[in-house]
Amino acid sequence: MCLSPCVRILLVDDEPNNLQAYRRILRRQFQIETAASAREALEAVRQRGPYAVVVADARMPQMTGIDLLSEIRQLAPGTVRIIFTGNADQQTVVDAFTRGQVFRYLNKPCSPRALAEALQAGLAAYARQAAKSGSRSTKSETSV
Amino acid sequence: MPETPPCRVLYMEDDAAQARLVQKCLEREGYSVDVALDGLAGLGCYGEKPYQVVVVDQTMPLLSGLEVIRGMLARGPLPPTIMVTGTGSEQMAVEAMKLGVSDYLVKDLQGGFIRLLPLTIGRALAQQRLLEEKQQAEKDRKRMEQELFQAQKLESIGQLAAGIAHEINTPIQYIGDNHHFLQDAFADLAALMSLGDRLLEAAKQSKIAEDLVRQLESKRNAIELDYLTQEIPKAIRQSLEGVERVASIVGAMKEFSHPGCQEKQAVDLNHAIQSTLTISRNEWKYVADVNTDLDPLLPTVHCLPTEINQVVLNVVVNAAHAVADALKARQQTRGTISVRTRRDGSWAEIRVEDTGTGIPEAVQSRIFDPFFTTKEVGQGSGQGLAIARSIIVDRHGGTIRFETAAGEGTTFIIRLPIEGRPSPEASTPAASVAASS
Repeated sequence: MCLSPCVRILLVDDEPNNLQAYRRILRRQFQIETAASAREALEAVRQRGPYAVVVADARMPQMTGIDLLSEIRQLAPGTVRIIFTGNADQQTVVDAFTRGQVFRYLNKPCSPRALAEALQAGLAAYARQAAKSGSRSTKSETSV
Repeated sequence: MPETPPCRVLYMEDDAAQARLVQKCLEREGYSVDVALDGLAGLGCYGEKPYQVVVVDQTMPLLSGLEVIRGMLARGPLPPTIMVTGTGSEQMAVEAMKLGVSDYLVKDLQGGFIRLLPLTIGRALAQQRLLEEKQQAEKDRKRMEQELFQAQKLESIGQLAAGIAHEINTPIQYIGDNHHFLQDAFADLAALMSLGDRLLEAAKQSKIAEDLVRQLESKRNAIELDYLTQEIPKAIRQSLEGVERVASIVGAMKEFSHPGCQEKQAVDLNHAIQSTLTISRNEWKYVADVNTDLDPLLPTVHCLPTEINQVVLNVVVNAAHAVADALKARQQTRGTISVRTRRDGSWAEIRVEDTGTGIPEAVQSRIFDPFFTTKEVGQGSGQGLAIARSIIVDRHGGTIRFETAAGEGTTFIIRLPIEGRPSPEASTPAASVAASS
């Protein structure tokens, strides 16, 4: 059950070892859910969203992280978007901000502290924006 | 005109007076002249010092001009050599030319041939220079061909670099995260154990305080001991997997970035193919499943390992790109690349089959041309298959061909002689590669 403002975070990565590792280091500080593909992530957003923050790996098969975040922007415009990439070329950065409209951009490898800071900042941004719009983020929370 | 230092001429002639005349004439032209008055002495002089030009009279005592020339040949390649014959002895001159003599002069009774000598010598020297330039050009061409191979190899590694960086960064990410987890988990466990030790002490003295029991239990719950028990081994195992992954990528890269030995070696093709697939993983893993059917009984093949790696890499990357293009057109999610090796008599065969777009008939005859590419600017210079053909066909005596069906896919078939080609590579590169440099 999510308290308002929502603090649930969705991590999306096609590498299962990454998802398990994130969960291990973040479980105490944050409410983490994971998805192993863009398709799973979209399903999660539709059925169990909205999330306060979604973090997506940039390079995934079938649908890239940036395309996924663009989709999520349509589905849940309030959700804060963060892209996570091991490929730090300029084009990816440009795409992330123009097409993905991301809040933050993280490079791999990324220390747990940097990841946690980004997530905290994302949660704060979500809370601020939810308060401003006056909408209650609990409206569609029916399950944990 | 002779070069500095003075050009050294050896003049063999049994007529001493005529020899002196020739010597004076040539020295006036700036040559330095040694005279020998018979063939044997002449051959002896030739053996002692280097001469840029040798002039030999056919009729001499002890050894004739032809015999002297044969003697010179026994020592190595002829320097520019001119034969002087009497009239009616042109047959001798022809014999001499067949042996490699540059030119001949016919001795006239008045000794007028002496005036022609400097010109003839000059021509012979010019001929020699041209020959040396040609040999140098050939050496340069070979060196540039080598540099072109190296450049293409680096280009392909450069294009893979972003993908390789991602492949390495991914395991590094979770290895790091897992170790932070292990660090915290260990601290938690240490605290729990320390409480446990206190309980143990108290138990020994039969002085178990309720408070201590409560503390221990509470700590056990706080650190989520069951969770740690389950997750710690997994974190360790997955981290070790990650370390192996990075090591194999780095190992594959090392094999590729060697400048390449020029000597053929016994190469395990199956291992080379595995390295190639590792290093190119990021190019194909999102678009294709890769199957390998590598004959475990395939013998080692006598070949240049770095060059063969490069050929397989070029073909595999092409296959991955073809599949990626096809997926877009067909709206599918994944294609297939199959790599097979087998022995066929004295040949080793490598087949790379993809379910990509196939090669359209219009371009089939051009795909091995240097710099021909159907890709966009910045996606590759089009040298991959040209270089592949040059390596397989010219340097290994093998074959490379393809079978294709538009819209269905392509199979590249590479055949290499297992024992290697017996003679060293002839200097006949694919003419197209030379033309491109």
